[in-house]
Amino acid sequence: MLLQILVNGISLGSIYALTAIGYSLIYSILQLINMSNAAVFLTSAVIFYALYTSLTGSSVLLTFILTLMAAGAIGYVIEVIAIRPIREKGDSNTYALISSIGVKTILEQICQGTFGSEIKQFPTLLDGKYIDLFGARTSAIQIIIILTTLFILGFMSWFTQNNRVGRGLRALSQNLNACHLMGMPVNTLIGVSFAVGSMLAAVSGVAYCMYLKSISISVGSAIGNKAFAATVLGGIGELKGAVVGGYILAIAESFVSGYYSMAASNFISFGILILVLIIRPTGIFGKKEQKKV
Amino acid sequence: MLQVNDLHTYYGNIKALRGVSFHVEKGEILSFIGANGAGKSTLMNTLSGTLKPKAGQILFEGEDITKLSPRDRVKKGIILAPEGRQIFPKFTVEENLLMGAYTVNDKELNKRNYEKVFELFPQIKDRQKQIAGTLSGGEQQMLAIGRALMSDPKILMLDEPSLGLSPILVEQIFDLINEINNQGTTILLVEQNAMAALEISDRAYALETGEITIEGTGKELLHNDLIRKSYLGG
Ligand SMILES: Nc1ncnc2c1ncn2[C@@H]1O[C@H](COP(=O)(O)OP(=O)(O)OP(=O)(O)O)[C@@H](O)[C@H]1O
Ligand SMILES: [Mg+2]
Repeated sequence: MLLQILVNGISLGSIYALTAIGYSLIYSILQLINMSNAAVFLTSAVIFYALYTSLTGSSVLLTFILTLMAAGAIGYVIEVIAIRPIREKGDSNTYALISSIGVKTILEQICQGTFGSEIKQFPTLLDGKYIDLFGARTSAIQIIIILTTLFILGFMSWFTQNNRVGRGLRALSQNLNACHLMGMPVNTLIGVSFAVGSMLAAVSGVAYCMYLKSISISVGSAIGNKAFAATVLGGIGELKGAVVGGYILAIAESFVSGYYSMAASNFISFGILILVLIIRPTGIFGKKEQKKV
Repeated sequence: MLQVNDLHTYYGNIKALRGVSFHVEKGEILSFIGANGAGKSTLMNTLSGTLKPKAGQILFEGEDITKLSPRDRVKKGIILAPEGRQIFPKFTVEENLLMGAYTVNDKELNKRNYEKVFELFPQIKDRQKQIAGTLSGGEQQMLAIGRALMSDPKILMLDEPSLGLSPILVEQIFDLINEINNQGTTILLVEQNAMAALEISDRAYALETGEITIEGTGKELLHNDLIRKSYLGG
């Protein structure tokens, strides 16, 4: 039972963590909560569904790759159209936040218009296959999700430490002005951060629907909100915080729904969110905001 | 090399530069001295492209660069080591230097510049893996200058490199600026420490509330009565 709950928590936590990184990455650079992230989660799942059912049904991998590319492009375009003009005018971040809510609404409307509001069956992998992990009945898709997430986390770690672009993203989060002064392509890099965040949300969205074996229009905001709670718990602006927050939250939920009830587990995230905001607003890894001069 | 004509820069309605004109010759050390709030940093930021002037013109090697982005200016060879250093505090010394080379694609050149930086600043050579935020003030200043040098500049602009340093370190930094200049980089220096700046400068300007009031060679200004009264303490 205990182990079962843990495995469920870890696979759900993987899904939260991936989406949470997107919130945290963009916040670390622009101090902006990019609300459109949750809608990209949904849109990517819808794109995957549409591609799979109409064109590429023979290959999940191909569908996945195409979906990732689409999500990256969507993220980049969101930054260029909805965020950059506000940034460049030097307007307050509140406007950018509202703009990102606008994008979220538009994307959700498009999804609703094209996809409809009923629940549909979503393709999955190795359906009905289970593995016995020390007594925990683990579905193959859970294992796939956990392993894929570990791979992506490893890749992100390499990317931000050793890749020129990834390192550039970390530089942006430390001192945007210095990045301009060093002649770095700041706008392009910020666009890339949106693309990266969106691709992670896409992995997360597709993984979640595969896990549920179904998709509906409400799937984005449900997970988006929890991933956001995870981001705050870990300390917004800290990538490792997003990951740790995601896993803690999902494992806590998993325990509550295992020992108590599913309905109660939904309160956990927001209960924790409110507690964190009261007790330690900077989250687990966050440091006190230093005023930038 | 650099020709600036009638530059006006505003912060909202506040006039910070009111028609500044000057020129920088290849190979020289040119400095601007001025009190707090004179507009020195505003001038540097306008030249680097992070502030947009309301009016005026900046010509670099005959080409109008007034509308170019900071990135394009760095590519042309103009870079600023800003006031307060603005190093990347969570990066190592090495990573900071790599960021300075973001516009340089030539690997060989990068390697040469990287070695050159440590020849100039042996103090930070053993600290390549140290987190930059934990360096001392003097070391951070060296890193900030080294980072700027990684872009292989033709003109290196320095905004108050001696700020907050002990007298011995100030002297050391000015010696190094001289050394960088001797190796062929033109220097545009901004300082409140007028004495030290004028001593190493070929020419200098005094900036007062956004306007140039006095100009001359470094020697001339050192002996100018007004300058002595206002900036050298009598
Ligand atoms: N971001 C800003 N917003 C509004 N006014 C500003 C801003 N930055 C500078 N100023 C004003 O512009 C004028 C010139 O400032 P600037 O920073 O260029 O002076 P400075 O000569 O570099 O001074 P210091 O020696 O203290 O660094 C000052 O009156 C200052 O108050
Ligand atoms: Mg200044």
